[in-house]
Amino acid sequence: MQNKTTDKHIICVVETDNGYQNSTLYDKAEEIINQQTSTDEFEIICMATPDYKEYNYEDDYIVAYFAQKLATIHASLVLFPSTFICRGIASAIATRLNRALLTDCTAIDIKDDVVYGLKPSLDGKNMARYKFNGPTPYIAVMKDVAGSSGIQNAEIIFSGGRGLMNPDSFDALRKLAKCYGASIGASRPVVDVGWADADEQVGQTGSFVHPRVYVAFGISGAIQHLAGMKDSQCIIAVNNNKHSPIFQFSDYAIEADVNSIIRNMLQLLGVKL
Amino acid sequence: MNTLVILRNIFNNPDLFDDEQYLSTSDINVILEALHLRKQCGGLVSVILFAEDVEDSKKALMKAYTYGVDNAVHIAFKNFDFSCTDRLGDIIAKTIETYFKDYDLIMFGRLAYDGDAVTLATRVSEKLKIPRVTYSENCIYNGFKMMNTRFLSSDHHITTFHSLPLLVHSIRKDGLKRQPFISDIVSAYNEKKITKIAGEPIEELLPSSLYKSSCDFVCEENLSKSNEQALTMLNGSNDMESAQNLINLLKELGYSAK
Repeated sequence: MQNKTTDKHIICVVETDNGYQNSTLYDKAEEIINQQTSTDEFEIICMATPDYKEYNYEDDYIVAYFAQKLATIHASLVLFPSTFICRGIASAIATRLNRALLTDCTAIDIKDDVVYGLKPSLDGKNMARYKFNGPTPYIAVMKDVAGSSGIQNAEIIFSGGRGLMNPDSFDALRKLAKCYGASIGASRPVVDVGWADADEQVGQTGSFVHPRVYVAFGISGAIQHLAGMKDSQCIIAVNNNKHSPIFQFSDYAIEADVNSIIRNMLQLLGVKL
Repeated sequence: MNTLVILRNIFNNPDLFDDEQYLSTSDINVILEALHLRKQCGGLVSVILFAEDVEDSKKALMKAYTYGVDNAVHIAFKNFDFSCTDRLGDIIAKTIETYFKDYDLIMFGRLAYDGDAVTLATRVSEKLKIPRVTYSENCIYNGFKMMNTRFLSSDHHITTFHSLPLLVHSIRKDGLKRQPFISDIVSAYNEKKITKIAGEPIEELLPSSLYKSSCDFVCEENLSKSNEQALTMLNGSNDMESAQNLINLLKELGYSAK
C-alpha cells in the first residue's frame, strides 16, 4: 500500500444515516487492523453521508461530495457497506477517482503491505481471492455488515429456494414461518421470479445473516448463498438431493421433497394450507 | 426511442432455474420491459451480449430474438476475465460510443457478470456521462421524461424523472411476463441474424495504462463451515415422521409454533 502524505495507513469507513456510526463496518475496519503486527500504523476515519433526503437521493451530489472529501483524507482503503444506495456510489467514486474496486467483499486482509479481498467466485462454486495493486485508495464494498433491514437482525429464518417449484409453495413456507415467528429468506432465483422481495434475499446480492437458526427449504447452496448464511449458529437443510452443497454446511438435514415436508409440518401444527 | 439492452452471459451455476439455460430471468424481464417501451414509444430494441465466442452465446441471442427484439449483437471474446468489472464496464461504454451512438435508453437487468449489475451499470453511465437510475422497479415514458420508481427498501421507494438519454438498471419482476409469440419465434429462426463483433479490438482501444490501480484475481479458496459439528440426518421412516423430527428439533432449540 502507498502512504503518500501521512505516517499512517488510513482506513476510511463510509457511514450511512447522516453520521450515525455503522458500528459493524467500523468493527470490520478494526478487525483488519488487529490482524497486523503494528496496529499503530493504522487509523480509522469515518466519513458520513449528508442527509440524503435533502438531495432527493440524487447520487451525483453524493458522489461529488465523497470524491472531494477523499481527496483531502488520503485514505489507503475505503470501505462501503453493501446497501442499495452505497453499491452504486462506490462504483461511481471508483470510476471518477480511477481506482480499483472490489464488490461483495466478505473479508479484507493485509499481508506484507498488500491488500487482499475475498468474495464469492462468478461461477458460484468457490470463494475467490483478489489482490489490489497500484495507487490508493482501494475501494471495497463490504458484505456481512448488519444494517437496519429485519432479516439481518432476525433470530430465526426460514429460507426458500427454487426447490419449492412454484409461488404457492413459497406462500406455504410463509405460513410455516409465521407459526414460528421466523423471518423469511430467499435465494436469488426465487427473488428473480417474484416469489420473494429483494430485501428478503440472502446471499451475495442480498443480505448476510447470522441467525440462531437458519432453515433452508429447497436451497441447493450456491456459493453466493452459502457465503450469506454460513455463519448461522444452527443450519438445517431440507432438500431432495443429498449431494447439494448445502448439506456440507448444515448441522441437521432432511433428504426429502421439501414441499411434502412443509405440508406435513403445517398439518402437524394444525394449520390449513 | 432506441433502446440498448445489455445482457449477461450465463455461468454454469447451480443457482439457475432450468429454463435460464441461456438467458437469465432477470434479462428476460428487462427485454420485456424494453419491448413494452417500444410498444408505447416506437423505436428499436437491440440486445448486446458481451460473452465468450461460444455456441451458448449465440443461443442466448436467438432466445432474445424469440421475444421480438429488433437486433441482437454478440461482442465476442476469445479470452477475457469477466470478473474484471472496471475493464468490462469501459469496454461496454466504448462499444456503445463506437457502434451504437443512436441510443436513447440503455438498460441492464438485475444481475451482471459480477453479481449485482449496479456496479457495472453505474460505471457505464459514468463513462458515457449520462444520468442513471439504479434499482428501477418501473419505467414509464410520458413523452418528455422517463419516470422511474426506484427501490430503496421494501417500504421506501422514490419516483425520479430524467430526460433522455438515460441508463436504467432494472430490477422489475412483475407485470410484463409473457411467453414468446409464435410469429417472433418463426421470425427469429427464419429471418433474423446475429451481428458478431470481435471484442478484443475494442479492448485494445483502452490502454492498460488507463487503469492506475487494479484488483486482480489471485486464487480460489474453499468456503469452510463455521463450526465442527457433524451433520445429523433427521429423516424418519416417512415424510410425516421427518416433519415431526424437525418440529421436535426446533422445540429443543427453543422455538415452538404459536
